[in-house]
Amino acid sequence: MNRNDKQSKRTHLPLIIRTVLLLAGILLWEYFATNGRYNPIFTSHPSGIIKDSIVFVTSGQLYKHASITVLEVFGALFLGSLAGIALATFFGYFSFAGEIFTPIISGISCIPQLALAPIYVLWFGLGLQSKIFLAGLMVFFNVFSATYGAIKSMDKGILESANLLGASEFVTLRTVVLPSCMPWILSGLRGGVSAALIGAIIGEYIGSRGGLGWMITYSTSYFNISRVMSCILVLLVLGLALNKALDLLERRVLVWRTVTTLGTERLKK
Amino acid sequence: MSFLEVLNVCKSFDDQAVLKNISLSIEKNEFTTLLGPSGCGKTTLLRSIAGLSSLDSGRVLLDGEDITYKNPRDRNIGMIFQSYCLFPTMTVFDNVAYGLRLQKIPPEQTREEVQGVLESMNLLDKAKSFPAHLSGGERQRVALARSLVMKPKILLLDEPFNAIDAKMRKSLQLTVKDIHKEYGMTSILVTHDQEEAMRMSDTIHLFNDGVIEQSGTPTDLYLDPKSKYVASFMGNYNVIDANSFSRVTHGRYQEGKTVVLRPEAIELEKLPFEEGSPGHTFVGAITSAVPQGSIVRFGVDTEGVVLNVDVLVDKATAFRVGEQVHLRILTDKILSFCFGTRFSILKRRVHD
Repeated sequence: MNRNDKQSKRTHLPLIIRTVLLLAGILLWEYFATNGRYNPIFTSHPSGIIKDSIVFVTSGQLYKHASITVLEVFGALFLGSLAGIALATFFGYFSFAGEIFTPIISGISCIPQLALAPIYVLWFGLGLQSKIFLAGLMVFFNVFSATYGAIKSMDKGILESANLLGASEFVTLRTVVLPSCMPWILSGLRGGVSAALIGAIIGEYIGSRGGLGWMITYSTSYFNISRVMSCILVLLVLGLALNKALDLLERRVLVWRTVTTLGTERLKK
Repeated sequence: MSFLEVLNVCKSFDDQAVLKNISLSIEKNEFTTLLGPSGCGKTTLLRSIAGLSSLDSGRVLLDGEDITYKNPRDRNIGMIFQSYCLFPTMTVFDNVAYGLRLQKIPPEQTREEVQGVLESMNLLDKAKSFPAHLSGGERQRVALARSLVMKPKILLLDEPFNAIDAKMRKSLQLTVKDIHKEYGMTSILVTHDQEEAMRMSDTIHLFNDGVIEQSGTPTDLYLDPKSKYVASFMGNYNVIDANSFSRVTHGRYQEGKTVVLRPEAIELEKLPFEEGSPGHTFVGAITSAVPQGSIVRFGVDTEGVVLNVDVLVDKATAFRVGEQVHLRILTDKILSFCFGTRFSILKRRVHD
């Protein structure tokens, strides 16, 4: 066996072990739940979830509710990150205003937004707006603090270089500042993705007329745990897809970065 | 009128005066160095010329035009920073092309000019690399290329070699010197490294606490320092109070004065000097020997005063630490100062 074969085996090994462990867990779950080892009303079981998922899809319910949640999540991500980047940039340039307002913003961000969710429902009603506002605010705090920190820690000399080469402040912002802040903005966005999902679901728990969060509370009240699990499966797929999209974006946008691994190379005999 | 004129410039930070009424002029194609320890105001002056730091009073004239209040981007001045300050998200090519693209130069011409300057910087094969993947020396060459491609009226270099290893530093210094000649550039270098200043400059302005202590050619400053400060900054001068020096040399030096002399101005021999030979002759014991490339610096103790003596390395092998040696100082090599400022030069008449 040559060295390359050995190496490819080594890289595949974690994947194989992971898959086997997951499959074993699912099989054990199915076995214990269906053989009366415990009451499956608490957790449902894999085959039940699959059966329910098929009904969920074919009845058009999945599309109806998932589209509401997805709309809320995307709306929140878009508006929250836009506001976060814009305000961070504004305070980055007008540091006097930044000095006044950023402590207030970080103060407000310390309030658990979910605690305010009922008020937002009161303000904006049971529709999309209250959820987008709640989730969007959570995204905003993530993206704002990441972007503001990045702008503040920018090497001043780089800005001065751009200026000496003839760039106006706006051109510098567009061509130099925002691209260099991208790693931090993206990591803020990554936090924002999970914040948006949490905000949308919890918002729906508290007051709504549809969405996956609404479906979860509704199904739980009828002890339809299979449906709850189906919804969670959809949320899992949604979360994974968003993270994957961020991975791809990161790979495209951050080609200029060097990647560091913390592990040191081990000496081999 | 000179190409660059700095007139009566003052600048304070929080009531701390950093530039105290500085005036200097720089001719076209001149390589000027602002030399001094950190915090002496040299970088502030450079930044003021670039327009990156505003002045409290005074004026800056470039090529006959008053640029004191001009925006940096309209000055056509190139600046190289210690930390390179390349745009991290752009390739080497895009970094260098940045300024030309802002000027809306046609892409074809931009490409030609960028490639031309990259070629002269020996960077053509790195055109597609990002700054993070380059060595320190390469990054600084990119920074140079980025400035040069704009054909600046004047090139400012703010301690550009500090972060670069010794060997690369020498070659980069040569590159800068070559560019200066090849492009007919007018350059101002800020550094705290006296040797670097000597190697690079046509003119040196030595700064001390916000004022220019002395200006002149490197040789002027080295051989004819106007104050104790200049002497101790420019060379590794021996600085001795006149009393001790009189004791060592059996000469007569006025009390309260300070005597300075260059370490290579002291002669070292194993055998006594001839009777009646000129200058002061005396005996000492070698206490230390530090090789410094082409010379060895000996510490020689005479009656409790330790003098630094430089000897060329091939001659230095004759001497061992602990040995007794004979020293000679020619009187015209001795400079003496009173209260830090030069009082009189011995070669003109101090010693009888």
